This record gives sequence, C-alpha cells and structure tokens, in this order.
Amino acid sequence: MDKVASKKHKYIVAIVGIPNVGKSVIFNKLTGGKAWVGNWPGVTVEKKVGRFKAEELNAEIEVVDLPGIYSLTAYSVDELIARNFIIEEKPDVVVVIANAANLERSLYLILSIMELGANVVVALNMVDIARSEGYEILHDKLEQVLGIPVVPTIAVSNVGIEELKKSIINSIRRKLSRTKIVSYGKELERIISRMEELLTRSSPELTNRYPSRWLAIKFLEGDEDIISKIKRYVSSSVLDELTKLRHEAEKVVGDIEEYITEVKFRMATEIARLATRQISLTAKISVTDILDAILTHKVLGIPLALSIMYLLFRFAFDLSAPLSDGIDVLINGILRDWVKSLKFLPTWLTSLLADGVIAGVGAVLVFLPVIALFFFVLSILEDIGYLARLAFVIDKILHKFKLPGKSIIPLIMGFGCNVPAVLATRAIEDEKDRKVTALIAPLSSCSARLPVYLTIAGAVMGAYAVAAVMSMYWLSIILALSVGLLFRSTILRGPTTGFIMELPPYLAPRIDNVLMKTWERTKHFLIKAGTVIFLGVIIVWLLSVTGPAGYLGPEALENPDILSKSWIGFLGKVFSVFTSPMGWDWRTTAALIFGFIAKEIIVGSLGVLLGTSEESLREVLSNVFTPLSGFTYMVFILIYVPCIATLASIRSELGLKYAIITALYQVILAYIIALLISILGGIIVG
Amino acid sequence: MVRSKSILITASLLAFILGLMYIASGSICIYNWITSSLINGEAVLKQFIPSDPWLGIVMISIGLTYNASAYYLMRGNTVLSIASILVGGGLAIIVMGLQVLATLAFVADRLVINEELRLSVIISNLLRIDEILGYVSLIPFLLGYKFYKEMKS
Repeated sequence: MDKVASKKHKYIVAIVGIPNVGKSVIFNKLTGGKAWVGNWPGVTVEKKVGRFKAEELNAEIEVVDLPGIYSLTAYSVDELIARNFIIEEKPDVVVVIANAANLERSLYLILSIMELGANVVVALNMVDIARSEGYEILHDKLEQVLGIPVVPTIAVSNVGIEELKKSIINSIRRKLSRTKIVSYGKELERIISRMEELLTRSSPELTNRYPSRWLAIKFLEGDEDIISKIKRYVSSSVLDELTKLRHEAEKVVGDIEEYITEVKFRMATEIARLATRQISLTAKISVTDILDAILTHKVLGIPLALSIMYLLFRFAFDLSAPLSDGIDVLINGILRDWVKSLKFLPTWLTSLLADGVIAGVGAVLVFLPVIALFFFVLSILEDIGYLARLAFVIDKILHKFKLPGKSIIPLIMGFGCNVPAVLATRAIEDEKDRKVTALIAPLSSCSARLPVYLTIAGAVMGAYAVAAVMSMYWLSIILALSVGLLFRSTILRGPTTGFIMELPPYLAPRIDNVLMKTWERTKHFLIKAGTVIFLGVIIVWLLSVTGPAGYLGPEALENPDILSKSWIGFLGKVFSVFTSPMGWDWRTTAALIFGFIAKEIIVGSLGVLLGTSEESLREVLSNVFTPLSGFTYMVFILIYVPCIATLASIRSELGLKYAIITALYQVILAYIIALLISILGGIIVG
Repeated sequence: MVRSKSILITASLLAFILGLMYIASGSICIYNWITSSLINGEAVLKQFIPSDPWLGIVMISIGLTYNASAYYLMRGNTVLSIASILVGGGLAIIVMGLQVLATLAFVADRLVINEELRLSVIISNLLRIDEILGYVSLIPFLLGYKFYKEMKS
C-alpha cells in the first residue's frame, strides 16, 4: 500500500444539545473519555475535543463538544459559539443529543440547527426515562418526519453508542442537508425567497459561507450579529431593499422574532406528538415528580434549599479536618523541619524554602481538602439535577434584587473559591445578568478567608467568636445582593431575564462524572497554589528580608524591630495612614497588602510580621487588636479587593474594564463599611 | 389499596410527631446559639442540642416538611403527602449520616494531630438530637418508600 493511500482522513463531528441532556456522557463514551481542553477563540468558554477511529472510513474522527444551548440566537455567548462553529468550521456531522423525556425542547434546537444547513444526526437519549414515564418515542417516525438519522440511546448505560458511531460514519459518507424544514406561511415564505434571491445575487461570497435562507430568517429576526455581517457584504441599496422587506413582513406577522419562534415551537410540538406513543394508560409517578413536588414547593422550597446548602458546607468543613491537619503535619511539620535541618544549605536559602515557600504554600494547601470536598458535593448536586432546582427556587428572591435565579450557582460556588464562581457565570445567557453576577461573585466569602476570620475572631472575640465569623457570611450575602441591585439600577441597568431553564429529571450521580468535575474545579485552586501563591510567598519573603537599607537577613522574620526596617514595614507604614482610623497598626496593614495575592497569605503574613509562629499568633493578635478593630479588620478582608487569580478570571471573562471596576468598588466599599463600623462601634462601645 | 392507605396513614402520623420534635429541637438550637453566643447565657440541654443556628434552620425545615405530610393527607393529596415524607425523611437521614461521618472525621483528626481522644465526646456526638431523630426517621422514610413502590406498581 502506498503512502498516499494509507494516509488517514480527518473528519469533524460536533456534539450539541440542551443543558443536562447527557451531552458530556455521550462525548466521553464516543471518545473513550480522552479529551483535551482548550478555549474557544476570543472567549474563555471551555472547548473540549476528543477522537475516535473509524476504520470503515480509514479516518480519525475529531469530536468537538459544543456548549449546552437551547437555541441558536445571538443572546448568549454559548449560543454564539455553537452557531459560529457550525457555520465557520462546517463540521462533517452535527450530533444533536435530544431528551426523549422532553422532546419538544430538543426538537426546537434540532430544527434550528437543520435550518443552518448542518448534516444532523439525532441521538435520542434517555429513552428509558421516557418509558418509565409511560410513553415511548417512535424513532423511525421521527426519522421519517425530520428526514435525518435518529438513534435511540441510554448513554449512562452505554446503550446505542455503537449504533450512534455507525450512524455518524454513514452520515459522513452521504451528507444530508435540509434547510427548509420549517415553513413560516405563504406570505413570509415569499418574503424569505425574495430576500434569498437578493442576497445570493448581491453577495455570493456571503451566501457561499452561510445558507441564504438562514441569513434571511436571521435578518428578519433582527439578529444583530447577522445584520452586521450582511452590512459588511452588501451595498446600501440592497440593505435598504432588505429592510423594506422586513417592514413588509412586520406588517404581515407583527413581531417577527416572536412569530418565527412560535411557528418553530408549534412544529416541534406537532412532531413530538406524532412521534410519541403512550405505552401506559395511567402515567406513572416518577421520582422526579415526587421530589419536585416538595423541593420546588413555594413554601418549603426555600428552607429546604437553605438546608441543603448548609449540609454542603458542613460536609466540606467537618470531613476535611483530618485531611487538612494531615497535610499541615506533613508540610509545615515534617517537610519544614527537614529543610531547616539541612545544614549544608546557605541560611538565606533555608529561610526562603522553609519560612517562605513551604510555610506559605503549605498554609494554602491545607485548604485543598475543604475545597475538593465542597466541589465534590456541589458536583453531586449538579449531577443529581438539584442545582437547576435551586436556581428555580431562589429565582423569586433574586428577582427582587434584579438578579436572575441562575446567579445563585456562581454565588454558592464563590463560598468555595471565587475563581470557578466567576467562570460559572458563563451559564447565564443575558450579558448584563452575567456581568453583574461576575462583579458580585467575589463578595461571596471564599474558603480562603475563613482561616483569617477564625484566627482573628478566636483571638479577640472570646465567646462571640462564632457569631462574628457567622456574621461575615451573612454580611457577604447581604452585600452581594445589595451591590447587585445597585449595579442593576445604575451601570448595568436593564430588564432581568425570566427563568428559562430545563429542569432535568433527577438521576443517580455517576461517580466518574462527579470526580471529573471535582478535579476540574479543584485544579484551579491547585494551579493557583503552584503559581500565584508560590510567587506571592516568595515576594512576601523577599520584601521581609530586604529594605530601603538593603539586605536585612532572615533574622528579620524573627525580630519585629528589624522587620519594621524592611520593605514590608515601609509599605505598611505608608498605608497605615489610611487604616489608622480603624485602629490597625502598620503590621496588620502590611498583611492586607499581601492578601491581594491570595487571601490565604494574610494569616502567614501576620505571623511573619508579628514575629510569632501560627500557634501563638492568636495570643499576640489579642494585644494588637481590640474586639472592634478586629471585627472591622475581618469585614475589610471580606470585602476588599479580590485575589489576583479572581481578578484575572474577571479580566478574561469580561475584560480589563470590569476587572478594574471590581477592584475599585470593592476597595472603596470595604473602606467605607470598615470606617462606618469603627465610628458607630466606637460610639456604642464608648 | 386499603393496606397501602393504612401504611401511608401510619407513616404520616409518625412523620407529624417527628415533625413537631424537629421543630422544637431546631428552635432550641437557635435559642441555644442566641443565649451562648450573643447574650452569654445558659444553653438548654446543651449535651444533646447544639448551639447552631444553621442546624436549627435545617431541623425546622425537616419538621415543616414532615408536618406537610399530614396536612396534605388530610386534604386528600396522597402524592404530596408521600413526597413530604420522602423528602423530610431523606433529609433527616442525610443529617444523621453526616453527623456519623463528622464524628469519624473527628476521631481521625485527633489521631492525626496526636491529641487525646475522649470517648465521652464521641458518645455525645452520636447521641445528639439530630442523630436520635435521624435514626427514628428511618421508620417513616421506609414506610413512605414502601407506599411509593406500591403506588408506582
């Protein structure tokens, strides 16, 4: 066999579906779970790509997992990514995963993708759930009506996956495309045809890239992205003609976008009706019906949601204690002592490694178990299908603060770590809703702030320590909602979107899926510990052992008098001009500066700056803070500037402008609130 | 069907009684937290009922859900009645299981940091009110589950 003949071909298959339809499971089954992750161009939305071999085609098939979407509008980043991929990359096959237990919604997406001219294969997933609910989907009927292959699957049990692979391969061989799947009525169809003619004649370049019918429909719908593309290709006279036709269509059907959506939905419902057969006379009561009757109940739903959140936190905090202490013993005990015992190393290097790197990074790594367990339970709740319910239940409350229900998921994730919280805002379709949620997510009191609260409250609050720590969480929630309302009423003004989310059926969590999600989320924290925090503690160490007068030596870490002559001392004294009204001295102020790198560093920095070990830190802090100044310090730490990794996430998600806005508003807000508490507390205490 | 109905009535009655106990215990949790953390007073039954406002909210939520079972049964809505027992009971069992795990974690932690492990602390952890009521909650939950199975078939 010659070299050319043996050369393998490469085909691209895109996987798309509504959220919670089992898309990731099918992706993993097709690719054997081997995927590499990147970002979509221009945005930080994750792009997952995997492969499988097709011997029949002597080819390698690249499978691209597109974001979970409901339609192909230009309103959300995810939908734009999906449709741009289908149009620009022209995948050989688009596999649409449909939910057999709720076919209408999936059919709407299938029709939208077919209109794009894609070569579609439908994977009809969750057929078992549909059966348990008393009906079955006649996939051959569906195939006949849609004119495309339909493969029934139960992805979690590996049923239908091989058939799906075969269907993909067959579809690669004989490409099918039906752009005129939905008919919008005689009058509108005439207008669409006229627009198609105009576009094809005036700009063949454009209609070679995009299906002309789809362009015409999107222009009629007022899709800003498509209108701007058309404007670039056609002359102003053609554009005027198109606009005239649009006005004509408006006279016929009224609101065109609403009309087109309605027609498509009507067709989806009709196809679903044709393809559904009842197999049980009495519809069986499913677990989902039973659980939803109470978990989304108008009265019980909210206290139950709060209870589940409490249990999430308790699981993470209670069960992580032995693991955290184990890491602490290992790193700050055994490893640190071992490094200190290496007499052949120069003193400065021993100090850098033991007091800087190991002490600093170790102080952070002890939080790894709590974060991993937090995300473990959160992933279980997500897999079960409860997070969607939580958003639904909380929606009414959040709406009072002009926030969408979906904001609750990033805000809760923020209690674990603010970085994945900011990334989780991607699921919010409306741009303003998404921006405001990302801006307030850093106000969620992340687990990195907890050791700071515990240390300070334990040192100065006495019997009120627990109440003081708890108040930080309440304050965090109140502030996030209030600031959200403020942003929504000022710089991000606009209507809040209603709750549009598929409530998936409750499913037993899959351990591999849960572990994968936990790892993906915890990874951010580990990367942060290995990069930003590693660098941060080295900077803290360097600024502690050097000063305006030059190198001070590792003794500075043991002797507060020498430390006051260091750069840290210098910076602390400069900033204490602003913080002295709150009763904080230069050392506690200097520790705040390093909290910008990562909040976890504050405790370690306080230890270094106050010349004490972490064990006796509380005792020393009780002489540095009064209960009032200690409390204002905790409040300041809660609110002031998010850590550098969170700011970097905001920058990559929303741009530099919003990262600057976040940093600025949080510093100003923290200062005002801390000052107010100081003044009012001073008056009350006398 | 008559037998099924009697299972539901028994489960619902038990859930109602347990619900009241959960509400009372949850309220004491909150009261204990207020007295011990805010006004430096004396907590009630502190050996059995912790000073934890969040646990108080959880227990009251379970209690309300349990009581909803009787309410819906009286109104003839068996689906909501059974749903209340299953959700309330499920949550009560999760709280109980979590406390067992937390006790195990506590034991492991003492061993890791090489500190004294007192048996009295372990026993009091396992005899907390959320634990005891959790054990009892197994009865209405299993009865409710049995009724649900029969209703489904």
